[in-house]
Amino acid sequence: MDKRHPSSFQQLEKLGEGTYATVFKGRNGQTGAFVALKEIHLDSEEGTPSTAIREISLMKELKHENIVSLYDVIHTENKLMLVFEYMDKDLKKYMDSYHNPNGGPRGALDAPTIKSFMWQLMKGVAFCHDNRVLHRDLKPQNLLINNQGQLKLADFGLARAFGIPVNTFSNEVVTLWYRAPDVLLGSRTYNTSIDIWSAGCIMAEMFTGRPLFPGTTNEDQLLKIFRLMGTPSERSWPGISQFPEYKTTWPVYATQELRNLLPSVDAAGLGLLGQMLQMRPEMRCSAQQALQHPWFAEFQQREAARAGQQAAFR
Amino acid sequence: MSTLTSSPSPAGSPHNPFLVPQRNTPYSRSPRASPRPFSSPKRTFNAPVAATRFPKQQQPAEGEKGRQQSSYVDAATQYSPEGYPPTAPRHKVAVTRTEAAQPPGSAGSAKKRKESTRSESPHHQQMSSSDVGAGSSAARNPPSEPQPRTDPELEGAVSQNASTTDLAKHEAVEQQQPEPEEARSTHGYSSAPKRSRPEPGTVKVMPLKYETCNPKDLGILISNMLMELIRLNDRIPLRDGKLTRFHSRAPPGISVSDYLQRLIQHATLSPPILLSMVWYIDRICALYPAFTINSLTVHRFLITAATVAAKGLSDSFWTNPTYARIGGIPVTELATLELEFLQRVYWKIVPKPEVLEEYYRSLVDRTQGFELETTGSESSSLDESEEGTKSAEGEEDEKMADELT
Repeated sequence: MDKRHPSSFQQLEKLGEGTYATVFKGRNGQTGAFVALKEIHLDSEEGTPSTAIREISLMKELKHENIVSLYDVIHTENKLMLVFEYMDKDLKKYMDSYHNPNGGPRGALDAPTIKSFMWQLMKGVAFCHDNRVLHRDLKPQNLLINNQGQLKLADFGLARAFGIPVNTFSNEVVTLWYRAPDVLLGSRTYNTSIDIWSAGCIMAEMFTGRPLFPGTTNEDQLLKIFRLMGTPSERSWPGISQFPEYKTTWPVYATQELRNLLPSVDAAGLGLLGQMLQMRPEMRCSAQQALQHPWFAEFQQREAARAGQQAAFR
Repeated sequence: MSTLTSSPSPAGSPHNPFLVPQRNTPYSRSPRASPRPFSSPKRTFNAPVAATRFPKQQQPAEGEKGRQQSSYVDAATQYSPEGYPPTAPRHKVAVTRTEAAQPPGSAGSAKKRKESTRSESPHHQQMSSSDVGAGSSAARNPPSEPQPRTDPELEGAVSQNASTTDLAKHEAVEQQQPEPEEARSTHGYSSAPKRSRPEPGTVKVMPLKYETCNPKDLGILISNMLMELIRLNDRIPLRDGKLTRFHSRAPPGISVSDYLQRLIQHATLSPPILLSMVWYIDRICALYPAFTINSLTVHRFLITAATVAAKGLSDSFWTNPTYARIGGIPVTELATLELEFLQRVYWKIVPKPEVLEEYYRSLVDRTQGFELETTGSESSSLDESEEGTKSAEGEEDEKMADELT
């Protein structure tokens, strides 16, 4: 077993305080490379936090260029230290500090950057889903960006494997603003489509610099969604009245055009966004389908070219 | 963030058979607790065997099940999440607290005999007694050539005899072999033909989809398999005197079957969790050469595997103090065992769905009196073994686990 000592890492400044851990920047004493050190306190009552068990066990399975790498787990007397690949900032901070050369609203990113980030986001999400893992907490703070413009999924503390039929799904998942309507309605049988909704919210946020649905409560969150997407009914969403949080008293809003809210997005981009932000989970596109969307044509071509090159070498 | 930890207070009736964990908040999602100051657990890391605080249990008489009427009371702790992601609504937390008293393990054990199919004992001497049904089918039917298995998941050092050792092979040769090898795999039975079919109506038909089966039935299949492993492994002297943290000083007074059924009931273990625990046996045996399932290790292994599987795979799980109380070990020890287990298996605790299906079929196939339903439409309801389960269930409530020694 690995008994590497944490002192082989020089601890630098604090990067953030998570909900169950503190993250520091660190430097590998031997290679000099930067790492992120996530410290998890161990409590003899709680044992190893379930968030840590999930994060470690799932990230050990998920090795992908758009998922942050877990290098090592080091156990000392009273804490676990997870050694992660170092990333420069998260997408939230990236947007906050971004100055669009072409102007535009504060926090909004330029279109090529958004497309690149969305491509990488959907690559990472597709890999999770193909490996039967739900992330369940996609949001700008959990998407890490490095100075090479790479985007990687992080924070798998809420994630879970969905392949095995453990039929107990919590509906207290995903940060409120990025939570899918079916989860808000109390669904416990959700699937990969909840990550797609979150990704759609993130895409819109990158264009405007503001969260798409900044709700304050579960109910308020639903209403903010309805105001844009229209209030659902049995006609538009058969079976909706069976959800625990279904209300007959919802105000009836008409469906708005995404185009009006997001004038800077081209038609193809709006098409993709529309497929991700479907109220009904079964109507949302999958991550693989999103990657096939014409909006990503240039990335698809680049990937095909690379695959062709590799095939030629074989 | 406020803390809503419930901790047991040492008072209350020592004899309350009705204390069953309450689960008022079914979705006790994993707490993202704010870091708490570390309170130094009194670990007994260097003592490989947990200290026996109490007089050792009398061993059950031969062929009898140890049924300790215990003075250890299982208490229920309401799951009390300590923190949530800032965006998740806080659970309402019912702080129902029942009490755990842990007086010395009573020597006044009320022993009852159970029907032979459930009769198990951690001692192989007892297993060889004629009336034991569990695990004896293979003995009566020497199996054909064993099928070696290797676990594709394995990484790291796999000991030579680790993954492919076949129980059935041991069965066949155990008479002659003075020094049996360890049985380190839960597999290897499928090629062994079952004993001739018992009379119609006595076969328990298990559903095709394991997630719909009764966890208690699955528990019978698993404890049968465990008993075979134990019977083989107990013949082997301790390897180089190597103890693991999973070793008890002496076989605990509660039988494997009773212990597993107790965990199933009180820790609400679902079929996927149970099958994952079986998969963990193969994983840890392959990756940790000093570990085998035997009558000294099986109890601690089971409570640890149950805790890890529930916390790692399910959105619904209990707190460690609850698992510790159900399992009869101190919560600090559970924390140690949990981490030990996770490290030994390199934190890879998520089984592939197909693997669990295979384990389920294999368990049903190798157990006499059980078979898979054929079409999915046949009734799998009332038959002998289910009644057996029911009556056992009734007794289960009255039984308390002993402290594991």
